[in-house]
Amino acid sequence: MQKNSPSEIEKKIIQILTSDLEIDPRISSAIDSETPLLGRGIGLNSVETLTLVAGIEEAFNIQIDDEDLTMELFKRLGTLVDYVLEKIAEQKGGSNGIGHP
Amino acid sequence: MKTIPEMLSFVTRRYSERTAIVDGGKAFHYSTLGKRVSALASALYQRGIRQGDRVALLLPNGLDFVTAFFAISKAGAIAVPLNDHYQQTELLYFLDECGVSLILTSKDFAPLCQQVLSILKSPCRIFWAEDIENLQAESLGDLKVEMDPQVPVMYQFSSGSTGRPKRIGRTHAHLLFELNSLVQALDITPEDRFLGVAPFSHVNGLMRSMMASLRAGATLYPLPRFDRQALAETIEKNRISIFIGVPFMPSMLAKSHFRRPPDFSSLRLCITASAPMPQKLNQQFHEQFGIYVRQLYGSTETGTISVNLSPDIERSLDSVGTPISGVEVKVFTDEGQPAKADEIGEVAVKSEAAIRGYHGSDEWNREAFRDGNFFTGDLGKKDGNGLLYLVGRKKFLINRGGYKIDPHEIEELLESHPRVEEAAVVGIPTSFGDEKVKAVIVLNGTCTEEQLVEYCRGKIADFKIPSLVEFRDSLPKGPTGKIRRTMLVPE
Repeated sequence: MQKNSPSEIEKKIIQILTSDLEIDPRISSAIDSETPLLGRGIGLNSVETLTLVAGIEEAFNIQIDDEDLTMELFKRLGTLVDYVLEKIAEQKGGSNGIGHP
Repeated sequence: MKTIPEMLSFVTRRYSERTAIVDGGKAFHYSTLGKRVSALASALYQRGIRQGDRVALLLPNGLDFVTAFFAISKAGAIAVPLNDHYQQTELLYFLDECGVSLILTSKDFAPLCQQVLSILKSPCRIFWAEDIENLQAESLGDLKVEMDPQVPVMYQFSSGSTGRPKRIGRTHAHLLFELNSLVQALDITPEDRFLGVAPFSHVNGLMRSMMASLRAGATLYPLPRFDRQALAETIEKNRISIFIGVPFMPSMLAKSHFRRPPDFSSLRLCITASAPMPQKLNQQFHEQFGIYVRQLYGSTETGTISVNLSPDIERSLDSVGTPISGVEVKVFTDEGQPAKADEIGEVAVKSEAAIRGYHGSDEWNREAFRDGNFFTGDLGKKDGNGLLYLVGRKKFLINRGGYKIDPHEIEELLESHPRVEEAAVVGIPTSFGDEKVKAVIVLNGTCTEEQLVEYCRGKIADFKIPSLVEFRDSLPKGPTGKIRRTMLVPE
């Protein structure tokens, strides 16, 4: 499997949900790209979404801008995976800022 | 100066041409802040607000919050700052409990406020913060209300381990005593630049960032929410010297990946309160940003109690330091005797900034306020050098990112679900030093975890909604039928 492919990213995010957020393995084993991360899904709250984001940043060596952390981004796991893919590609280009682009 | 309006009047005269607040990149002088406050205070008076009336404040951190807080006090009314994450059930409780007659809020909260007002039994109106700007053109004069420094200027709430949150009325004298001691302890000067990211609706953000900065004639940089990049950029760009928050904030910054390391060299103090700062993350924060996080201890009942300003910070990272001026801290054993050095007991505080009792809670007052001390419910010890360490809690509360949550409030809501027979809510420690909310449920029918979480949404604040739900056939109980919560928390 190619590194940082959508399925690899998805697998890693599920791993972060289990290790950093201690989501019950019975729940995390049932997660797929259609699973919503908020509300009637995993039910993450604002503190937990930031914890997940910090885990993703560390795993993929990317910066995620907090202003991108909208409800839409966590609508389903697939949306977040697409976003991470985009960020990996974008940050390969490099940037000097610490803030929002 | 004996009252909060007198304090504002003093700083707006003394530091008139200095910058009081930088909000959204725009700088406002102390003189401008004074004019805004006067205009709003007069407008409130014209709308019938009188001495002792209660005015709720539902706004994010920013110039409008600061203006509103001081204007309410200038009109002689009592400010009731409310967390802007609160939902219908919570707002209804606080508005009703305090007898609020006006809510000062922003149009962002219009649907929620209108919904709440349609249910609230007593009459209550809304004043939109967006209208403050237009008041400045009006000639309303400078309102002067004679006031007693010993009357409440603000109501806040303390989560109890049983029953609903208890009302705390802090007076002008309480706040000024705390501010003067705090400014002295932290050696705050007009040259300081404060980051205002801890919510101003909570005692930590309100007293230790917003009020402390303004009391000292310093410059306040409010941020409406915790946004890591905006925060880092604000510190770097504005050469912020003091950052006071909750442990979650520096912990997240230490764990975050930045495109390039932000420059925090301007920070002379980074302080957290309301929850323990994990030592490992403190070390990580120091490695990345070159400064240790110092811990401060306070409560809504007493204001600031102590702060760790030890020069030997590397060896006392877990300590909340020594009491600030005018505050006495004692540790008592279970037998009511003063604890020896390193002996654990309940922390009791004596301070002129402390309240003498909760509003209408005689039973709680007898337990918590004894011999001039406030018994905090926190367990702690003092080392041989007098440094205070907190080690746990006597009262059962959940600490979520610095917010103290009464588990009974969530249990009550969960038990109102038709499929829930019994609920017990506990805190599960996280790596950030706080706790996540876990609900243990006994069902009397079919219901999923998602349905229960959804049931809570919109009724209580997001941070109170359980992150973990476990279903059991029964709850562990003692011989009297009391739930054994400790058996629900993994070792």
